[in-house]
Parts: sequence; structure tokens; C-alpha cells
Amino acid sequence: MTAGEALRQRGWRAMTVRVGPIDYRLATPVETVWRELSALYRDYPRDDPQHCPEFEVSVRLTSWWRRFARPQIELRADIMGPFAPLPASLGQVAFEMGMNYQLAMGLNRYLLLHASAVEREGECVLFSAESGSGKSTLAAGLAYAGWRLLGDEFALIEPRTGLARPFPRPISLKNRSIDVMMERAPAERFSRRYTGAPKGTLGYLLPPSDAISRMSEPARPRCVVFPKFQPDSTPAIRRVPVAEAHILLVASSTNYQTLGEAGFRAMANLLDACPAYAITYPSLDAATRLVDQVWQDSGAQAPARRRHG
Amino acid sequence: MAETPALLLCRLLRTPGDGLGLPPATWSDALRCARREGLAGVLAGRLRETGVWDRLSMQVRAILEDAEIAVARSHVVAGWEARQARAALKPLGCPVILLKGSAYALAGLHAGRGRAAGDLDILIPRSYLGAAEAQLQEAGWSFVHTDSYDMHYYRAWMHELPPMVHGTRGTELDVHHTVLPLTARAKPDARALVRDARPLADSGLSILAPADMVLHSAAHLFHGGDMVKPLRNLWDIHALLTEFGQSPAFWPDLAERARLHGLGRTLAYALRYASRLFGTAIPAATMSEAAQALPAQPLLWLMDRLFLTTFRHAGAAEDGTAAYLAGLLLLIRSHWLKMPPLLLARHLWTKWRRRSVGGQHRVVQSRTPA
Repeated sequence: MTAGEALRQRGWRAMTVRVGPIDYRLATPVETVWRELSALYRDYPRDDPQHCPEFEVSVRLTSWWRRFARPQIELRADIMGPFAPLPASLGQVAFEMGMNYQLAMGLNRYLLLHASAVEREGECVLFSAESGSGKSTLAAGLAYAGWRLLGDEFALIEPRTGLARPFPRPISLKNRSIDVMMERAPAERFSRRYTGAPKGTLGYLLPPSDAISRMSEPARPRCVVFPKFQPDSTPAIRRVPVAEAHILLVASSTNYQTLGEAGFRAMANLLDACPAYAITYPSLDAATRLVDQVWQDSGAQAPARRRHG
Repeated sequence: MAETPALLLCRLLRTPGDGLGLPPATWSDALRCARREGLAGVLAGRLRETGVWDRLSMQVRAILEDAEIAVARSHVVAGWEARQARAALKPLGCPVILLKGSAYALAGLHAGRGRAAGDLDILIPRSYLGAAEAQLQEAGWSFVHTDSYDMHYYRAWMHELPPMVHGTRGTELDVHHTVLPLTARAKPDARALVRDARPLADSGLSILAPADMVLHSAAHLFHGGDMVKPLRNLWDIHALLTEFGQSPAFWPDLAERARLHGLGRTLAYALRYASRLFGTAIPAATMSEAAQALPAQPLLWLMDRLFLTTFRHAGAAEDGTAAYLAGLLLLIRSHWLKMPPLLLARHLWTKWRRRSVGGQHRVVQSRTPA
């Protein structure tokens, strides 16, 4: 009997779901959490017996006596981290946190950048920034304006080829970004709002269905963008020198150190091929225009294809 | 009984060819168990050296390669950390003996293949302890604990200094002066450990003599309290025995060193379970001689249940009741072995009181060994 069968025998709900190159097993005994999880992953390939679940993430109630007053859930995963219990209403938030954590701590076959990415004509833009600077919102906006979403949280760069592998999880939107996207994406693609999460109110937006159906098609990075949402600012573009971009991307990578020399080469190759830009913008529309400019500019640059081994 | 993921993992380590034709869901169980046990890199190495690797699915190989990359990195870090500690201690002129993962990796032993090297563990003669502490602090290491009772606990009763962490690199260092707590009933001969250590070419570092290395590994597993990564630790023993056992002189030496260190029963357990789970080739004479140190029935029956239950459920995502109970009993046993009853009672009383006072002690309690 496999672990998945054992979970189901105990009355748990469990599924194997593929996102990009990764298969997760997700399990919970809590019916309400399961329903939200199933709805959010309805478009992804599920329970394919040919797939080998790589990481298991589960969410359960902390203790039976808490079920009657302020029930809490806890997150368990193959790679355990500093997961604090959350209110039972935030089961989906716990799943998303756990899935991110497994990738950040366990995946070394790709150079992992904390970045969102969108594709057009086989090439992609990487948006790298700290949480809260608007990279998810920007990727979401572009994904619902004709670009193909590769991912809103991680860019997976294959060291051997330099290609970016899609990892199109549901887009995590915070606070006001949810309203901004509600105007641009169909309502049925949104999860409910999760209030009281560690970073405020969260909502998940399913990527357009082509982002999911084409998630095995990689893209060649064309430019790197460091976006910064700043209310009342004048839209601005600045070219970022290679060395500065390298340092910024290293800081955003969870496994650059682990990859050692292979990580350095992958990063150096990426930045030889891709000019880097910093953009500051006051609104999503302004950002979209800046990205178009950057896209044109980077296409006009003859990319140096020098490779570091 | 049904094959648990841990037993499946043991089978794959023994006969990697069994992995061909396993359904993906079964592979998933074995791989995730191996990752949690710290054996994924070892399994990858076994699959490669037996020629099974190329016939595995892309997905299985990808998961194992992730582990191999992390292990390779840990070996680089281990080498760096060992050289840093050696540089800090060089003025003292004392031997610096690497223990466990770092020793296996830097000495290029089979036991180090695919096995991550974690924190740096070193052994130095006890007489150098005070000076070493000062030198290491000078070089940027500082103690994790600041609590006076925890510090006293280590200094008065343990086999190592309180754990240290490097201020800028964040890496951990344990400085041992023997291999079992001073309060334990078994009294390994620390002078002999140091005297017979082998230099590692040109590094200024040493490793334990082969028999001592096995016995330390066994003491770590069968005396240690919390049974963290039990299968990985048993695999260490298996790999060391298999490599050193190529030399016929090793086996009599092993038995003799076990007597010298008072670790006869510990060795008996190590041989018993390594051969059971990994099929370690051990000469019959060594096996039967060691077995004389095993406890009589019905205690042996009980110990088998406890250890085998622990191994069966190693790396399990969920602790079942049986595994939990076995773990608890082994924890109690390890304390019994570690301290005389009155001292233990005093220690537990102090820990309990400090814990119930709460506050800052909770922050460090995970690193406190009891």
C-alpha cells in the first residue's frame, strides 16, 4: 500500500497535482479545505499514475479540542520549516506556503529565482523583486493581457540550456491587488479572500488556462526587470549594469549557494543574454507600457551569446 | 508485515536493481523517505554504481540529482569549515580529529559517498579544551547557549563543549573530548582514540582509527537519545564495516577496541542490525563473539522490537503509535545509559523547572540534548 492509498484509507482526501515539472501530493482530512484546494487546482493535471509525487504537503487540524473554539490548522510537509499554526479558515494559504517552501528548500536541478515571468513569441521577461513590490500583480496583469504566464513566484532556470521552465501556480495577490485584478480577470478564476493571513488579505487567481495547458513549454529569457510599484511616481526605466543585476538576482535566489559553480555560470549566462532594467511605476497600466518599451529595447539589443561553459 | 517505505529503502540500498519496474507511487514513497532520512544521495550513488541509474525514469533521476547537488555542496562546506577550525587551533599544536560526516567526506571513505556532511564535529584531547575554546572564540565562533545551567550541563557531564556557532557563516561546531558523556556507564578510552588517530594527508587534520570510527558511529546511534535519522546512521556503520572489513586484520581489532572502550554491547547491536537491514558481510566468528555481549532473553526480544520498530518507521511522514512508543522507550533508555539515576533525576527536575518558568529558555531548548 502506498502512502497515498494509506491516506485515503484513513479517510483523508489526497491528490497528486502537477505544476510545471513538479508533482505534489496534497492531502487534508478537512473537507472545507479540500473543496477550496480542489477548486483552485481544477485545471491542473491530477492523479496521473505515471507521475511520481516529489513533495507531500498536508494540512490538518491541530488538536481535537480546539475544534470547538478557534480551530487551528497546521502544515506538515516533507521538508519541514518554521510553520506556525494558522486559523482553520486559512487552509489554502498553508498549502501554498508549504508548496513554495518545498521548492525553495529542495529543488536544485534549476537555478531558482524569486521572480515572476511572462512569455511572448517563445521569449520571456523575468520580474525579480522582494515580496510586496508588485511582481505578482504585474505578472497577473500581463497574463490577462495576452502574455503567457510562466509563474508569479519562482523562475526556474535550467543551468544546461539557460531556458526558463514554467511553474504556473495560482497567482497570489495581496490586499488592493485583488481589486485591481478583479477588473481584468473573470470572477470565476478567483479564490475567495483569505483575511487575517500573515501578510494581510490574500486571494488566489488561477492563471489563464493556456498558461496551464502549455506549462511544459519552456521559454528563453530575453530581459530581466526589477519592478517597483510606487504610488504617485513618474514612470521610469533605468538600465541596470550586469554586476548590479547579478548581485540583485543572487539575493533573490534560494539555491544559488547550493549550486556552487553551476549556479554562477547559469547566472552569468542569463545576464550575458539578457539586458536588465529597473522600472518604477504608479499603476498597472503604466507598468504595462514600460514593459512593452523594455521588450522592444531588449529585442533591439544584439544579445551576447557568450556562454560561461 | 507490509513493507514500509523505510524497509523498501533498505532493500533498494541493498539491491538497487529492485528499483526497476517499481510503480511511480512506490518510488515516491522510497524517495521521500530517503530524503527525510538523509539517504537520497546515498541511494543515488548505489543506483549509479550498480548500473541501474540509466534505466530509471527521468523524474526519479531528477529527484535524486537534487539530493546529489546538495550533498556535493555540503562536502565543499565541510572541507572549508574543517580547515577553518584547524587554522584556529593550529597555535595549540594539538591533534584535531574529524568525526562523522566531515571525516567520511574528507577522507574519501565509501561512507561519505552521497552522504551530506552536516555540522562540524571535532575531537581534541581534553587537556586542550580550555585553550581551544579561547582560540575558537577568537576566530569568530561563540556559544549557542548563554543559560548558565546548560553551560554547566555540558562542562560538567558531557563529552563535548556546548555547541558553538560561527558569527558570520552561521555554521555549527561541536568540540568533543571523548565520544560518550562523562556520566555514562561505558567509559571509552579517549586517550587511545587520540593516540591511534590517523593523519589526513597534509591537512593537519586526523580521523579516528577504523575500528574506533565504527565504534563511535555505533555509540552515536545506540546510545544517542533521540534516534534522529536512524537508518542513515546505521548505513554509516554498514558502509564503514564493508570498506574496512576488506582487510582481515580489521575484525579482530574491532572486537578488541570494543572491549577497550567498554562498547561490546553497542558493537553487538550495530553488527546485528546492520547485517539484518543491509546484509553487511560480517565474519561468522566476529558475529558470534560480539553476540555474547547481547542481553539475555527476554530483554533482547524487547530491544529487537524497539530498534526494529524504529528502523521500520524511519523517515516516516507520520509517527504511528508503535513508532512513537518505541522512540519514547529508547529515549528513556538512552538517559538511563547516560546518567546515574540521581543525577538524571536532578537534571530532569532542573530542566522541567526552567522550562515551566518559560520565557527565554524555550528559544534554546531544541538544542539542549535532554
